[in-house]
Amino acid sequence: MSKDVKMNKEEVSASLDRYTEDAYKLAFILTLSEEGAVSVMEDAVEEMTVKGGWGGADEKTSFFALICKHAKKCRIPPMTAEELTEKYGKKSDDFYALIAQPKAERARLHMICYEDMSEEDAAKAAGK
Amino acid sequence: MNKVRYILDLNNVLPSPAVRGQVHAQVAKVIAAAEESKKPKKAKKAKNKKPNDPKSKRRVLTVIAVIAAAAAVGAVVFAVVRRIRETPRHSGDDSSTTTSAENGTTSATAPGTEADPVRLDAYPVTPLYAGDKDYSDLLAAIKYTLLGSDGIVLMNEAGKDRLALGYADDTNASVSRIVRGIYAASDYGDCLIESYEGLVSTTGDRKILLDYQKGFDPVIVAAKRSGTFEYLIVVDVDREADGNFSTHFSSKAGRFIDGVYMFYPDVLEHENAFIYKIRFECGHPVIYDKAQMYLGNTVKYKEDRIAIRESDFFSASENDMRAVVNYSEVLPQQCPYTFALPGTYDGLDLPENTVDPGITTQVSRSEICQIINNSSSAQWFIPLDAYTEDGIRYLIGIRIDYSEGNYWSPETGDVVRREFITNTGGKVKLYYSPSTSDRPYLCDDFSKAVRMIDTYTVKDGTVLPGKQTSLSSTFKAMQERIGATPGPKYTGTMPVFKTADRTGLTAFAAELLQQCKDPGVSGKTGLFEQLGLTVAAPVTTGTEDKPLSDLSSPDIIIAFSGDYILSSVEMNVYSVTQTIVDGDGATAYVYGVRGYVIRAGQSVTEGLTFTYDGYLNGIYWNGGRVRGSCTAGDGFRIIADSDGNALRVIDSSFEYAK
Repeated sequence: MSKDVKMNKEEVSASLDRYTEDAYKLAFILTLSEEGAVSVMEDAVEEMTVKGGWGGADEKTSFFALICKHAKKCRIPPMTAEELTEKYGKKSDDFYALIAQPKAERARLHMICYEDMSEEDAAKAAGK
Repeated sequence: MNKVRYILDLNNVLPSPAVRGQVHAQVAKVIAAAEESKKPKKAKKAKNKKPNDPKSKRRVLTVIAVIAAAAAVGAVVFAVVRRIRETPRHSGDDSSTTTSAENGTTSATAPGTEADPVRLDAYPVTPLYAGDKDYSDLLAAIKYTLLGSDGIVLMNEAGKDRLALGYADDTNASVSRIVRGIYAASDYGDCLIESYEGLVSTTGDRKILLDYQKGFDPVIVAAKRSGTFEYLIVVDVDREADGNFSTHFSSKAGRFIDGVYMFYPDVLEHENAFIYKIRFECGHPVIYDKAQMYLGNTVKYKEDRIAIRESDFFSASENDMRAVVNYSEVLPQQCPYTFALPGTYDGLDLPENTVDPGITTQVSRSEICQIINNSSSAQWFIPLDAYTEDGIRYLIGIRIDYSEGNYWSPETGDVVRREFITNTGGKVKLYYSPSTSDRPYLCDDFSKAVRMIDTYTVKDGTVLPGKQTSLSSTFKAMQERIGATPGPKYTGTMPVFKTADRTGLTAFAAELLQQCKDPGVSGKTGLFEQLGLTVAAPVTTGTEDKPLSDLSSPDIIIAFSGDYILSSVEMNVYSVTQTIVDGDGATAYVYGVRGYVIRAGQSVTEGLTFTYDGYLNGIYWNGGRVRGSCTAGDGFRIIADSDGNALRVIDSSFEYAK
């Protein structure tokens, strides 16, 4: 393995470590399933890596935009209300208020909060 | 921003270590695959090298080894991806699982591309249960009006125009009956319409209401029946002159050809829609609930038709809707409308100790009305629980008796408060803000205020005479016995007042609110005034008493048009000054009617027959009982079953018989 590739892998891993939690949350609230979240993250990582998107100044934005993109294509069904309740507990009605939003809106809200994007940038990244 | 952060409290949504490992492994695999993908090129170059070149041989061997490794890694990667993507939607439900390939759809096709459109049975929707159903009223209701979460029906400008047209010309479709369909679905069953003032700056549903008047049309793309309810999936489309149409979320969603909406598959797959829970009652569609839904994973195409997999029809919030439906023990024939105890309340002026709602029990309007009417003093029955045991239905709740001198009084701002004395002497405060909603909300902890509760029994839809009074602590024990969570906090539902003496209760009586906002009540705060319309009131005969038999002008007496004539109710109406409102909201005044009988199925006189839509909108009287500013007076209310059979005439001041 060349030095470049090795460094790239390290960069990707470091970025993933930074973003995994929020990326998972984003993928989860978009797909409303654990399985879907993992699938979407894998797809986004794959495309990000193939395109060499890691390491740039906007890698975070690009990564989350790709999650939104792949979430749209995700065909894994969302968990049912019963499953969500059983798994996560109905701790907060707000969580259910959030998941009741359209997917793009969920994405936008997430990005505003967790990625500190402006509303305009968040809307753009969320595909709204 | 703080609110957004609050909404996004996802602290309990975290990737497990396994997920982290899985994603990192994916990175390693992808990088490895990417690295390998470069090597065949080197191998190709190596092929052009002279075979005797030892360096080239080593490179070729290396490349072969790397390709083999890449193939192995790739196989693992693709196997993982395929396993995930081919996972059946629900375990044990593989028989009807449909993959994207089977659908004939291409998930990679971007919305709006020129994929082959899929022909849908978009509109009209085939009626889903007995009888021919006309969905035009429902679609008009969706297009022109909106039932807000606070129970207030909002109407857009287009709706107002249509209402005015219908008012001026009764041959024109009127939205009044549309509104009835909506408000019947609200918790309290009465219509309070507000203008859409301020809608322009709002978002969400209200923005969509504006979009409708800009050209969007609701289109039913799929439907499903569950019990007596229908669930309709509605997508809003905006059709251009060239036949293309868009949705709220897709600028190019499909084409309208030969009266059929042809959606591009990916548009529907990635479209947000609304799901409506409706039921036809007395010929009218009644909206019971509405939720936003994502069509992905739900819509399937088969043989040029849209199909909804049962297991996929409902997603998170819709499942909740279904749970509510299944919970109800109220048979539809008992009463067309049921009380759904409010799950929310108006929070604008709520004191800190406001009772927290949460009761999900459904008690029918008929049952509540029977309890009140069977009592000599009850003004309100607040159901707390209901259950069935050994074929007997038990209704448990608080009976609030009327107590002289406890009228509404101005409170802070426009919030008024009434303090009720319960049947055991406890005090319950009810708050009401006429500017925000006609739904009252409760203050104080019932568990403190109420020491006694009443239990009524119901058999065959009839509340039996007599009641059992118990300590509230007994009620809690009873709840525990039936498996419910005993809670110190209870809430109630819209009060149903008797007519014993409602002085001072004008704002609280649902039927009075409705009548106050009837169109054509000249000089009063009516629907038209509420909406800012200036439409001349209908011609009236004046204010002097005049026997009904003297009224011969068909222009004055508007025969009710509709699909039902009372068949089982006879009312002896005495000393009535009445206003008659037909099924479309047009009004004719008939004054001075004194002592006549409306009998079963009869055309009373002058071709006047009575129809109703769950309420008898046709007869109002004031009989010297002017209620505050609402001179339209009180109204009879007929409770009818879903087949149109009148069950009860609600108004104890008048003799009635079944």
